[in-house]
Amino acid sequence: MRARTERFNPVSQSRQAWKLRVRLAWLSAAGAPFAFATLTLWPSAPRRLASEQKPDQVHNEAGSTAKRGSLAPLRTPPHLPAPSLSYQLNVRLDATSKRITGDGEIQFKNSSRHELKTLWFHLYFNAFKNNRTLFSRSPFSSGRSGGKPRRWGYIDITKLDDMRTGESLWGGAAAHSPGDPEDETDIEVPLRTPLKPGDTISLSVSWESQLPEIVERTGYSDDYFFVGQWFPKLAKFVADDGDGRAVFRHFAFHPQAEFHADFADYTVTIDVPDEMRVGATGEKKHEHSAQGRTTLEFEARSVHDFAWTAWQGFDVSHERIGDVDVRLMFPFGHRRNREKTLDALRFALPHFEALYGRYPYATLTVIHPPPGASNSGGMEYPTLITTGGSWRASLYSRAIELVTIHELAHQWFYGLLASNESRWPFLDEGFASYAEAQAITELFGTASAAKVLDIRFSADAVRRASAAALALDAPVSQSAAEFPSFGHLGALAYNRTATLLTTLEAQYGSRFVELMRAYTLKFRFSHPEPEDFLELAERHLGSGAAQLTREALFERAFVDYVVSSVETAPATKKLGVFGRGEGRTTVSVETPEPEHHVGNVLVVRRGTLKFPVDIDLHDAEGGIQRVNWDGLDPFIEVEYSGRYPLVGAVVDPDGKLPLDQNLLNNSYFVENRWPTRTLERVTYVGQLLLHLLGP
Amino acid sequence: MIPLRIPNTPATVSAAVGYALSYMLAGVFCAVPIASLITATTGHVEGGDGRLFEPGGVFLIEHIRLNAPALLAAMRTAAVQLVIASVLLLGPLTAVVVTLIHPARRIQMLPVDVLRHLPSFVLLGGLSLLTRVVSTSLLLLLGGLVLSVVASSVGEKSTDGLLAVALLLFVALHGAISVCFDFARSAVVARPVSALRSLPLAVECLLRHPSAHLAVRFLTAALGWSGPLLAAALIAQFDVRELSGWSLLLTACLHQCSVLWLLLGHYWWLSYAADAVQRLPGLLSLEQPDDRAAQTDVQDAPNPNPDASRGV
Repeated sequence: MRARTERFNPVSQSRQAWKLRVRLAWLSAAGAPFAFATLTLWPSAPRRLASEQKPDQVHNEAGSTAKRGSLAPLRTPPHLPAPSLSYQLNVRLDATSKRITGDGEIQFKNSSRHELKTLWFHLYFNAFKNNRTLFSRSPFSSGRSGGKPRRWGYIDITKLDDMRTGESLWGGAAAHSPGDPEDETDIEVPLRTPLKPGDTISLSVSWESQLPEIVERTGYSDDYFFVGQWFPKLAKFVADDGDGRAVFRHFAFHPQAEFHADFADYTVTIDVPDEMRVGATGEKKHEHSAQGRTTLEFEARSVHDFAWTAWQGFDVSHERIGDVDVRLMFPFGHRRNREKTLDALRFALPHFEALYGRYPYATLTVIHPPPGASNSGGMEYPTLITTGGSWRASLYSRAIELVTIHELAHQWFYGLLASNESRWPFLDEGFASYAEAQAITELFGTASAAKVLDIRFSADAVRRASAAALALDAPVSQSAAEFPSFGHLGALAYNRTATLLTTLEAQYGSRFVELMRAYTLKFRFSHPEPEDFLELAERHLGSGAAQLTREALFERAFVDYVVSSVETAPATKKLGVFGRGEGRTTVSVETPEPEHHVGNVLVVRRGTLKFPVDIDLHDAEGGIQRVNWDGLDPFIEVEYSGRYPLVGAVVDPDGKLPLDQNLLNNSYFVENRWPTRTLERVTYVGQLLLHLLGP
Repeated sequence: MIPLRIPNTPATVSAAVGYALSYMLAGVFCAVPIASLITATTGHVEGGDGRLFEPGGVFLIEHIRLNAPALLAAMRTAAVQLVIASVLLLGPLTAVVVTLIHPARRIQMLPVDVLRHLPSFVLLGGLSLLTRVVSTSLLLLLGGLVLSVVASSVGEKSTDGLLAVALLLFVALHGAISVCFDFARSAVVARPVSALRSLPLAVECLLRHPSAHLAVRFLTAALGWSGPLLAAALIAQFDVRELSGWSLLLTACLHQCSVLWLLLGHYWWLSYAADAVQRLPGLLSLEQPDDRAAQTDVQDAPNPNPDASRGV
């Protein structure tokens, strides 16, 4: 095997390795960014505020490898597509009994070429009905929020009529989820009169719901209400599933899974006690009060979910960021948190728009739950996100900014792309984690997670480590319910996906940035699947890169480059017997060649992912020779020849491969060095501890 | 004015220097297990252990992830060595207290005195630890009960206020415990009292001027800790990865100076404690067995009388 060798300038490029952004990670299994609150301490790097940063100037420290800086602002058409589904709902909150009653009309157009004989509805509140539902029956904490219902919640449909014929449909509805007699979250409703292709059905619906005490991002906590997944929700309709069939993508509510639905136009009227302040998906169109009650009408076009909140303790403020009216609803006394949230939004909203296309809605509502209701925090809904944290969280932590940016990224990787969260959680959580990671690094540099004395921690580093820890346990691309635990889902769907995308960005630079842009533009409002991304990856990065991505996502494939050995010796002149017959000569004295050394470095690739890597050969005088290896063979033996002895070798010196399974074996130096810095620091810490704990 | 007995006799100087040196060596002793492990894991890595201090912490976190069991074992060993060092440091501490009470003591007699009082110091050290553990547990239990009752009815800021009060109580309580046991140590050396008998005397001494004694304790502690804080601020300006040779030596010197400053604060407090105990009427009434010996031991002692302490 031969390797291409070039002389390397150690001054200009020697230790750039980890200056390159190695964007990694959300640590938290639960995608619950709050876990960071325990790690993050205080801000350090000077922040580039949105006002100082033009949207088209987003660039990374890798400079030449990822040229976001060359991107022009995206000119995404502001129009919203006309969906085949609409909800016109009225809901009334009884704050005392914690119940809601609702009615309204659902219109659905059969956009397929097939006659439909059934509809499927998701009744998610029934997940909290008892301890035998799919959501609740495991005795262990396995849900995204890790909790079980403490007060039961449920939804009772009281009417579901086909307005074409006046027939009642609910009487014929299935009693439980398919194949699960104890779960009532996935209900089939037969149509007495089939729905012909191109026809529209109007359904008149009424229901009553008991809200659970907050669990899995919905319910009540004292007089605070966060109401998500609260109405009879039509399952995602697929006009052609690839086999020529029209199907509904329906599934029971699994504790590890999220949701999937069609884009729809929503008009929702919310009736609450007068003192309540209400936030909801979409724009507020009307508000009026009478007899101690306030009624608010919200309208949201082309969104695939609708959530709302009501609480008298909200301190409401507004700010305009670009074309978006940002409405912030924070508990009183959280002014600093609100400012941190706004800072993050001022940066991230134009940043994401520059990278992934325009945010097409007029409003964005940010809810910060009160103490005791943190379980409704850290969640995304179309045009509405929730953050979280105590009043003092922003004094010592970056959790507020991290959560805000992560949930905002979901407005693209969930909101606009609307992939199936239950079937392929990596497409929304993983991509949002990647987007969040690069934004937070852009904002806070290497101290994006914490700064402890003079040691900085990046969110990337934590995320990468979390991903590597469980990388071999399960594939990334599988349904939420198939992950062995939510810890695995967090490490793989969130963190390993983000690490993979970071690696691709480091490897392919601007081509990868263009790929992400193409993906987010082409598939907005289109519910993309993994193959859609891989197809685009092949077009933008080539078939090799697409194959790598596929293996990393579907096959538990990994890569670990190892500097296995480094050998060096003075070059010698000829020694031994040469020629034959009369021409035979014997050289018997070993004579070193002056100022000439040879060496040999063995680098091994473990795993099946074949990324090209650089290998640096270090000589005794600080000189570096760089070798590029395509990584296709299982190992490479790099020969060294130079004036000075070879002292060590480093594989991937610029840190372009955060997906590398083990970073500790990426270099090997012949000399074993005593850890003087560590000894000095630990000695000092020991002395201080002795003083604190000693006699 | 807080009296500071500046070491000015051979015995006091040797005790103070020995105390400082033993602290420094004890730090190295505790660091050896972790440093050995880091040698094994980063010795052959590019940049050596400097990689652990890289901004972003990628290498550090990777190191922790891949070496967690070994690191835990090393930390456990270091913790055991910390306990051992704490016990061993009782020797130098005893010498310091002895020389503060008897500054004119002959240096040759110091080991004998240390050995004589060491059992009492060990017993007091154990009792001090026990008292701290019990009081902390009680405070946590009580605080937890109070918080569980009031947390739901008061706001989060009020809850945090209660926590802050609990923290202050914790600090005050531990300050008081520390004052008592330091008084007891001085009493043991000053008069022929057992470790257990010294405790009521210590409490009596504390109760004579509780606020003054506690104020001095906290003031000297704050003074001492200002050193490490200042050093941390200064050293944070350096890039640890680049530390080597002279810059590393300078960092080490700064750290050790801050440790010396910390010990000076403590020495000042011990000096005050010795003074306070020796003025206690209950103690003065007891016979001082060392009186005659002390008088014969006085040789060129410039400051044999505690009253000659300098106010600072």
